[in-house]
Amino acid sequence: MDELRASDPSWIGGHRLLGRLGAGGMGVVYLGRSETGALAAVKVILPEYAEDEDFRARFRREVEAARRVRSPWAVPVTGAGTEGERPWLATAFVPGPALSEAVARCGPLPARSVRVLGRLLSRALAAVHAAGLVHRDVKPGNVLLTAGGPRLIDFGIARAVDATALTATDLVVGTPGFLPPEQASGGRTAAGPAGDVFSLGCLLAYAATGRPPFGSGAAEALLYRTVHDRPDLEGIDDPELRSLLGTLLAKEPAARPTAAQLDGLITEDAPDGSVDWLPEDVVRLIADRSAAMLALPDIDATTAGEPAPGADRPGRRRLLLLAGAAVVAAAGGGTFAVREWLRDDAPGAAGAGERAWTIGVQADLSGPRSAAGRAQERGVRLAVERFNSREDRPFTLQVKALDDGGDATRAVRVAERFTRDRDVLAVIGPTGDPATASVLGTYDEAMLPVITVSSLLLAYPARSKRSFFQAAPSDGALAEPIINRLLLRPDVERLGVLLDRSGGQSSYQVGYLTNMNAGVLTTGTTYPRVVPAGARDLAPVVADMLAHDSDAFFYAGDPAGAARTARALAATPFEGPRMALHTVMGPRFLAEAGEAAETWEFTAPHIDATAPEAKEFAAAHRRRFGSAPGHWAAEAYDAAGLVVAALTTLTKGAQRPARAALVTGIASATYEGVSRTYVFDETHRLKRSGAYLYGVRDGGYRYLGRAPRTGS
Amino acid sequence: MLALAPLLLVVACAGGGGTPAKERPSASPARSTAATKTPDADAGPVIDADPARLPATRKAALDLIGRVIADPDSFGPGVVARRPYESDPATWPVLGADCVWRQEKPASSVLATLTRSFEVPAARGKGPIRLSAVMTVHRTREDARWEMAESIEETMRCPTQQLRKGELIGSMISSSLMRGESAQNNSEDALTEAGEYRSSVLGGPHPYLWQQAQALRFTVAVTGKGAKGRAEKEIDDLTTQAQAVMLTRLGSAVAKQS
Repeated sequence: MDELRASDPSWIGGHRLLGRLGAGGMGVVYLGRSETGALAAVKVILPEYAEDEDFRARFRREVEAARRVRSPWAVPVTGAGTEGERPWLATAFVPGPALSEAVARCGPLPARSVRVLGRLLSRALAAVHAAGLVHRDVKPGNVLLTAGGPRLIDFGIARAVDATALTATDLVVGTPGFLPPEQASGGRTAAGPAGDVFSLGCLLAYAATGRPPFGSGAAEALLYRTVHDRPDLEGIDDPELRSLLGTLLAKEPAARPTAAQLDGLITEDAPDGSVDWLPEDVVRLIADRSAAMLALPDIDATTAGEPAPGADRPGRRRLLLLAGAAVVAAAGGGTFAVREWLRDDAPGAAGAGERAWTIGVQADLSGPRSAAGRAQERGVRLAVERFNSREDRPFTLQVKALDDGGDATRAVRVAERFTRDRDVLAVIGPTGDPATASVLGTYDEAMLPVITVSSLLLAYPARSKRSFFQAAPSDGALAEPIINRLLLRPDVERLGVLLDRSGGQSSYQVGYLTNMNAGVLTTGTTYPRVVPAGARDLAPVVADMLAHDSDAFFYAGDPAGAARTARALAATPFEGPRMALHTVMGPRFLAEAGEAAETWEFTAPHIDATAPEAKEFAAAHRRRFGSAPGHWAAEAYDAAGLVVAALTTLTKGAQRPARAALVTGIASATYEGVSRTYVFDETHRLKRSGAYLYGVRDGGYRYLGRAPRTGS
Repeated sequence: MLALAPLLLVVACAGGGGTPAKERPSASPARSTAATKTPDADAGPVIDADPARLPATRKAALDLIGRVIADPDSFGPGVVARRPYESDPATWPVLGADCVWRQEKPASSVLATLTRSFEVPAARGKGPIRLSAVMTVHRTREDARWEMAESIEETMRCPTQQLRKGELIGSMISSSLMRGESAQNNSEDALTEAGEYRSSVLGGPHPYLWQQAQALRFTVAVTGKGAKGRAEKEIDDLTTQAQAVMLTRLGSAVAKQS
């Protein structure tokens, strides 16, 4: 990234500009930070072009086009101003390297990586085409690689499929070498969606071989070869991939599959939101790029032009420059593209030959609890990146995240991969109880520390689980704050407990313990009711509970049942306090309960981004990921911090500690985290584990603070 | 609350259930558990039933119960029938608001129910282990699921229960495993309760165990009451064995025959 120049603005469209990512003939792309703290790539049109009405119309079209594409694999537009003196377009800033840079530095990708890449990009293109657009510039420089998968960027020359011919100056757009023959031939044939598919074929061939399939050199020669020659797929040994590329690179547009069909043609499992499909050195490149972003100044730090904090340190500075190089290639758009993969000055990967120090993340990244799993992956990445950005770090850590989809069978395979990988020192996860229950034996056998922050059962069936740590209050510990909150108040004498078996073990345990201990911890009484899973009409049960003088209400079950209960309760004159478990907190409860959701409260193990204790963490998370941390991110961040602390204590010189020693180290650690202080008892369960309170206020979930504890 | 944690041990369990008089224990949380999938009531029945083999009348239901319910051999060697062996099938046990069990007329959702009594006789300084088995046929699967819910409810509302005059159970901990949780695949829902048994005749506290399981429209249950010189493990083995036998017989009595 280059520094801002004297002529550059310091603010555009609510973004504080931090530096220049690239510049072309028509405008400049800046790195900016929005008022919410998110990083953005802000493309600003030069004033002389802004005066050109045709150009402005084209720019409007670009903005409009980019806004229409909704896909996890495309970079979202975060803001735009098309009518001012300096038209601008802001997109989420993606720090990852462009595919072109990754291939230039790390070499061609293995066949499996290419297939996964093809599958994910086919989905991005399908979204583009579904929006009625043609991208027209699919190429390695327009694909960024991130920890969450590839991102297709730059809709600068995208156009609506049905748009009539633009201006006469619209000769050949796109990048020679990646253009489809129908466009390269210079005919008036408009390139349709099939053209993007051809370009994707070129891109994948490039990824697989390191060379564009129609060579390089003068544009005219490239265009000629694209129209007349067979693609160069030399070196691709995988017959399936070869045949796939052959189909994509068919000269006849109608012979190519559509982007949506391509998704189905590629059988390679496309891991959602992870990087384990990429080679290790590419993953490292992505991680380094992300780490560099941490050094960027915050929105409220300093004024433009001052050096960024830490930028004076040479190591950090170099990282930043590297990051900038990738961004130029990525955000700068077409003008740089042909050259950039011909560059031969890419430094080799550092640290070759050394064993990596890896923290694994076993998470549900694509299943029922993927929101929690993704939040946790981010928490761990942030902790590790912050550690790695320290000059005095005794070692450098890597993060390897594997998705188990929350599925017990897949979870075992993930655990086996981690235990076999001797670089892995500890694993944070799994996300949910089914996965956790199924992997404890595997981790135990390898004595590989496994630390869950969101599997909360009081007990798991594994016979032996020596390396397992439960770094969160168990379901049992969540009962106490419910009792305190609902019964330690003058207007409540009897607590109605509705145990709905739809909620599974968690609900059962908390419901049962809440009922059982209410009379132990307080002078109050309870009125318990139990309903089978799926019981539709809860109104009679609610009425019975009220008829038996329940003046507070605790529902232990699933979100749908909670919504039914809330509605049933709202239809009565009952005005007392009402609570449910954190597992109910989600959009479904709000949507289905409607106004009846108001005033419901929840006890939860996770802290919220708005908690004062989490302020610094939340700000760092925003800087790194452009959004507030999701629930469970702080706890995973803490778990990674705990591992790092134990590792640091145990590491002598360059000697890595054994896994078993790390188990002992974690077991005896006292770690002050964001969410809580972590100290384990002899069963590796948290001591003194407090919980947090949330409530529905004005139609949304609000953080209410630490849950009340007995004797405090 | 922390003191409770040790109680909440896992039991990989089988279901179980009432006793004569439905000495259904009351329960308390804990023993149990472990996790696996969120219980899914709609996961499909554990038994692929042949509709033609499901009882439609009270007579057919009693006939089925006769073929499924435990007999002394179901528990293993050394178990004998007790007198009276079978309950009056026109009644079943109900836990009153006062936490006392009484024999009452079954709810209309019950097609037929039967309770049998057994024991391991006293021997050489050891007291008798009293056992019972219950099987109930409901009119619908939903009714059977409600019976399971009520069983849990009973232990929540009555931590101490009077089985009959001079017999009390208390300090109950109950746990549940829906199908798929902790590899529980024998039934759609399995409850286990453990606690203490006190008797004016047999003394105590002795271990008390209860298991209840539900599949389709049926529930089967077993109870075991300890005595002097009897280990909990011994009672656990007896009840688990008989419960497994009943579930197996139920499966072969109503499943599709290939």
